[in-house]
Amino acid sequence: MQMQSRSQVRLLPDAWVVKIGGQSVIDRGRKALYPLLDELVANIKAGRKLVIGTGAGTRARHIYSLAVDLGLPTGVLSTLGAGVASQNARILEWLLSSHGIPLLSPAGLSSELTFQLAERGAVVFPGMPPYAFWEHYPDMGLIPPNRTDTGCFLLAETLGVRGMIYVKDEDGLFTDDPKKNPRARFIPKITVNELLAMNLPDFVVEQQVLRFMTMAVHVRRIQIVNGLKKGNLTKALNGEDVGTVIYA
Amino acid sequence: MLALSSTRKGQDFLQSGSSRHVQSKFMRESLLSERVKRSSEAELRLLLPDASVVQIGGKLIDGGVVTLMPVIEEIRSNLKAHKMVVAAGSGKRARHVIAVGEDLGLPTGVLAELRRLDTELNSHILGALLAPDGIAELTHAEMVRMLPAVLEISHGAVFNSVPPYDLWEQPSPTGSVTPQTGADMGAFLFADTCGVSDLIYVRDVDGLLTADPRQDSRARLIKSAGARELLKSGPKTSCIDYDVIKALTSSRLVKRILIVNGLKRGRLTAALNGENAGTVITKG
Repeated sequence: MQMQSRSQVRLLPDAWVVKIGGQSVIDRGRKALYPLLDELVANIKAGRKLVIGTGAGTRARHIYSLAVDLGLPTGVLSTLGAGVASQNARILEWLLSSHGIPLLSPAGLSSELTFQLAERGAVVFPGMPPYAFWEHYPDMGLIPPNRTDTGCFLLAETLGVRGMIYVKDEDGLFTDDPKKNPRARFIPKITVNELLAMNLPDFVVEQQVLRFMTMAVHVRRIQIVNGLKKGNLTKALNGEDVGTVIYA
Repeated sequence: MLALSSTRKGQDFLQSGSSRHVQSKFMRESLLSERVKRSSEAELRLLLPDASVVQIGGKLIDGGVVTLMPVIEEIRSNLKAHKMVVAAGSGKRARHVIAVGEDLGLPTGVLAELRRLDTELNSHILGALLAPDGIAELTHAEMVRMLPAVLEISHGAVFNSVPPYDLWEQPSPTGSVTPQTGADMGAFLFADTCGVSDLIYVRDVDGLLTADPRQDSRARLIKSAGARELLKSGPKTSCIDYDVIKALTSSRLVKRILIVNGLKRGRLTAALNGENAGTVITKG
């Protein structure tokens, strides 16, 4: 085995983790998802190794609301969010079935990922980390702090992949939620510390991701692209600076 | 602009542009703003208020019949009166596989998985020893789904104290490769989620000590301390993962942690009866 410059090896240095947003993409249905799936398949056929994670979305928000109303602990909410991410992973798996791209559960990722990536070029997985009743409570409230952005990031870091791309429905990071504030400014490139210093009212990616990036060995750069615009994902996979790049 | 979708009964979902939303309090939220987080506060239900989590330290398990059977016997003698979720801690083999893995350059997430797999073996041993009493060993998935029924029937269950983080183990702020969410944190996180009546760590020492008695003969037992004061001043040695003491300061349902010496008969029983028979670390 080749000795690498870092003491921790990159297990899958040629693969990418790509997260497909739940609320931002999958909940939009055919219009958003079909072109994106075509683009994913084109990249896979061109030889890209993709580990495709799914977000949760509006149904998770509903069930989190319900669970909070019932006073259920964060660990229960974590299992509920995981269930919604799983639904979305199944949706992607079935839509990609003619291309033979399998769905892997957390246990499956452990035992079959390397084989499936070699055979099929890509896998789909539910983005929520499998913490379940072992999830931490957040600093405030009850929403699980480690959700699908974080789940995808942590997997990317463990696998030592080439890159972590978040496919959402905005061009990237803005100074405010562009859906609610039309004067929000676009930020193409920023460090984690600069971003945190801006004290923005909202975040484009889960805070835990920003935290972990600064402690990570391999994945210290993430890219957020607008998957509703055809070609953006491909550009990101080609290493181009499309969307917003955040780096530690 | 939100428009109600067409003629579906109950009009469950709303259309906004091309996005379908299910109507809820958190609808369309990113869940990342302070405002939304604050609005997700609630008084928590206790899922397992009648049960205690009793973690058996890996050292007691590695010690074999001499160190482990006294603990097993005491657990058995308390099954009638108490519901116990028995967590198997990690020992020498887990440390070995992590050391081998670190040398090989395996990432933290893989080391976490290896540690969990190894500690599963300790869980199997405890399960076998408690089997004659009808105690089942549950996987993490089974703990989530079946534990309440199992506790009702058997008053006990055995599980792997290492949490199911595996490839999703979190990077350490210290930069250490060693996976940070181990058996002690696993027991704590589970206890804090389920609102159990007590969290008891069973060790081969009386509790938290002011120093390592092998190095300092003046070492004393700390009978009771608050988590914050402990973090500020010491102690110099800890028989539980220090991260647990840190976590206790921001716990939701775990109000205190008990540490008892499993080699001294009666200590665990006293703890199960709510008494301090070793060290009590209180939240705050």
